[in-house]
Amino acid sequence: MPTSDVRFQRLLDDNQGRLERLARQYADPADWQDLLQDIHVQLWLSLDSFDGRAQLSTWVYRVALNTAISHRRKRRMPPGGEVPDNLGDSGATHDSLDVLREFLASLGSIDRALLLMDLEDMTREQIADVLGLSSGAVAVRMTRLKQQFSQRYLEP
Amino acid sequence: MSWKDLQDQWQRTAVTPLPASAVQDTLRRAQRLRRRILWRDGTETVVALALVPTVFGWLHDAMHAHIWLTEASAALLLVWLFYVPWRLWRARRLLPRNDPGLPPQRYLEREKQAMLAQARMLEQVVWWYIAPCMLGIAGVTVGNHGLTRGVVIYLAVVLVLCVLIERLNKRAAKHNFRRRVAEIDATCSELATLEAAQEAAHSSKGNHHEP
Repeated sequence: MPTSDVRFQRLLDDNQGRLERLARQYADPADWQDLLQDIHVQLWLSLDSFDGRAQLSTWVYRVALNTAISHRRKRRMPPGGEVPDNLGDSGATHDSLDVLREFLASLGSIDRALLLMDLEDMTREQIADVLGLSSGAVAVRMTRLKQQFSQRYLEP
Repeated sequence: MSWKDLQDQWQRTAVTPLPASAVQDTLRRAQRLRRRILWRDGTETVVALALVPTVFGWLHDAMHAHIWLTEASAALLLVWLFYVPWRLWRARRLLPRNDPGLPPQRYLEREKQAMLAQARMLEQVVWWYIAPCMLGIAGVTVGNHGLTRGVVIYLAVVLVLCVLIERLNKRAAKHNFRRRVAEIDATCSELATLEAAQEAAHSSKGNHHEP
């Protein structure tokens, strides 16, 4: 296998979990594998332009996020942005991750990305680097989003 | 259940194992994408060049027959056949290739410029695509056959088709490209709001410390 292929294989292996969870959150159930493959293609096409200024993992996530956001636009998916009132209140039993996924799906693209990266245990600085924002802005928004979620679901 | 518990559960979510052919699948998909782009870019040029001999033939015959209307119209069509591919090629070259490794704000801005350029091209299609073609065809037809009843009906049909093409292009510009521009603006607003909120939080903390 050529060196570039080996490097790319390692990149996919190291990031497979994060990328699949991102793809599932930005595409329909029938479509997420298509998005994931598009992300792989964009990573392949852009790998030579990675200049090493950022960490590879944050660069990978940024490529994936930009691809996912474009994918939603092309598929004409609703932007999200309103938290449903009945989140977690339906008669059916809701797995905690199901409720979390519903909450994520109700968010705009950037808020969703913020929480996803926090769920993946990325630091404030890494999240800020991916989004091109300041760490402070990330911290403020993260606190608000978690409060929103906690008030609806985690607190009795 | 705490946020930390959710984080742990989230990261333990079962993930589809990568197939052994993942890298090869990606390369094949990338090649298919490149071929699609080349095909799209090349089709207009190939079609235009394929029509050049025919139109050149009209021009040549009109010059020998001294039919000035056919001459002028065929010349217009010939120029148009070179202009259209050139314009499309220029539009593609003026926009830098978007790099998904850029911060989202810059990536989105480039996407927006690309969408706006596409929208403008479609909205102006009557001036650079339809009108020259229609005038050329009308001139060649009238020049060669005169203004007969059949020619008038033919030109009326061509006019209706041109109006239809113009409407369809404007609709595509509005419902496809302008819509995407609006969505890009919304996402950029999200980013701008985040920074503004941080600045507001920072300055309100600063105000609390003032005597």
